[in-house]
Amino acid sequence: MTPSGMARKRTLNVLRHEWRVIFTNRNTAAMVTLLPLIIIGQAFVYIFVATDLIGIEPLQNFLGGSLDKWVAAFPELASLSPIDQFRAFAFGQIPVYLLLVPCLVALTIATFSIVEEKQTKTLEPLLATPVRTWELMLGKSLASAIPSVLMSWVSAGFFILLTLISGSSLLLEQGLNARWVVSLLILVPIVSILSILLGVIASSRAGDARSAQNTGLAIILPVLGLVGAQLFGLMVLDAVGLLILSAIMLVGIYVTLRIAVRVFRRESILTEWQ
Amino acid sequence: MIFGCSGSTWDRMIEMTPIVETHDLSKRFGDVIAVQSLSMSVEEGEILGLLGPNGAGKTTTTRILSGMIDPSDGYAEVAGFRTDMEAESLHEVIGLLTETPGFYERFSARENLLYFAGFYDIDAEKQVDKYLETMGLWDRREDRVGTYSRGMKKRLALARSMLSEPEVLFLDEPTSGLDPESARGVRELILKFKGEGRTIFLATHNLEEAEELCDRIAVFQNRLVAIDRPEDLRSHMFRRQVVVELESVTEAVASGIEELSFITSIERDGNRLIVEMDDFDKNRPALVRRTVEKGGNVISVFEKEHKLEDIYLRLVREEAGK
Repeated sequence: MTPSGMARKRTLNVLRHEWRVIFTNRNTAAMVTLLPLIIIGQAFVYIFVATDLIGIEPLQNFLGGSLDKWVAAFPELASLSPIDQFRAFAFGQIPVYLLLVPCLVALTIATFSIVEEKQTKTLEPLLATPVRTWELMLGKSLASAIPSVLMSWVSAGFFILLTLISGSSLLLEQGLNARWVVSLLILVPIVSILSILLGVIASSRAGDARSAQNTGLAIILPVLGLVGAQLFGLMVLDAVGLLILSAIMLVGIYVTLRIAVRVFRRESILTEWQ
Repeated sequence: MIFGCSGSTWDRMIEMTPIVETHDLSKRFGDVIAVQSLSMSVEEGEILGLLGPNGAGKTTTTRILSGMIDPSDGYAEVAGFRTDMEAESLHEVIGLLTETPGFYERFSARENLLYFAGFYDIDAEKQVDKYLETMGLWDRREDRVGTYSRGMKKRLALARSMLSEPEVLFLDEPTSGLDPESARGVRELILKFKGEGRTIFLATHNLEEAEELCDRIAVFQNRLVAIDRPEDLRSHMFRRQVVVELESVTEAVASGIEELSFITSIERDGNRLIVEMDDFDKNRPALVRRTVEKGGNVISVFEKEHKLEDIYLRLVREEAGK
């Protein structure tokens, strides 16, 4: 087999093995598949069910002037009723809120994968095979990134389906805009990769998956901050704003990748990882 | 004290090719020197035992030679590959048995081996099945590794290290923590692999195991203290001694022996006399004759055997005293 053929074979070997490890563990499999649906289902309940139950006024009071700022940023919403304006506003938060899914899924898989190797002491025999550390890292990263991106898209699809079922096709016409495209096709993969790299770095120092995930959860705080900032009108990110955010995150990926590659050297794994 | 090779060893080695060579190899972790200026070679087809106490740097040396970590100074070549620059190519021709077996316990033995075999350009299924049979694990191949005993895990780890039919095997404490029967099974497998012409580098602190398996022994305590065949180490370190066991040791017998011109030392140990002499084989009958002449009732006469343990302990203590 050619060197590139062997590299592909080894990387796919890691990828297949990782998926078997992840999806034969009930807790991790549930975390990866159900949690995204819970996150997105919860958003649907807040937007559609809660507005019916408590009415629009308390929500307008809670949001202060941020709803007006939002309508000003997206003038096509001006003709809608107040409740539909609120729903459109909330619908507009989803592309950022959705980023919690790749954060959690990628982080869960990446930390579980590496911490389990540490606990079972399989890294040393693994590194004694001809696998290159970059192939190992790539295989593990793909094993986290692919389900993470797929689950984000499934969650988004699930949310859109629920919106359609609820009879709010107007929201889809008005709100399903370039922000969704940027979020799903650019930001979701970027956040996944960033979460994986942080997961690798956190796992190298952690003795168990929980503490690795706790450290890695640092990435969720900026995402929550973004959601909050939009919710309270501190910033309104249109498609261009999200692209700029993507560019900033790419710089973050570059920095964390350099650290992760150093952490993932064969010698560091054997002599420095706890 | 680094013993080189005695005449017979040289004769044997002239015909052999070194497959592992280290050149002034050193490894530091911060201020701690784990390996210091190690220069040695291992010949093709031999078993070299690296003997040393805990913390002597055996695992570090094994890791450097198997391309897992880089030396701080010097270099090593194994099977023609520089361990620090061609580690991945090296890994295609060596096998490594780590001290802790390390398996995915939720998966079966066969699934584990198939995963590791997937990193080599080999017929994975064929090799996995071959070594499951060789190691006597065929009947339990579909059982989860978590249900395996420690001895079975060691055998499975040995199977893993053999999947690519390596030229050189690095074994780090292959029988540590095993019961005598399991340890015996592992030792038999090691000898079987040697019989197939493989070179084996065995890091251990089990002296009996080293004596039983190894062609040469390297006593190591962060640096190479001595390296030679066990019998040559013995002859370098201990003069041949004869033990004369008597019903009782009398002054007449002791002084009678001491008067002999070829006697170089005599030591009493209960009802035994431990005697060193020149020209051991020629003068031994004269020693026995003199003992009987002086009224000694001889129970037995034999050559004192110095175990590897005696050699090892003397070397390690001398090294510690430096």
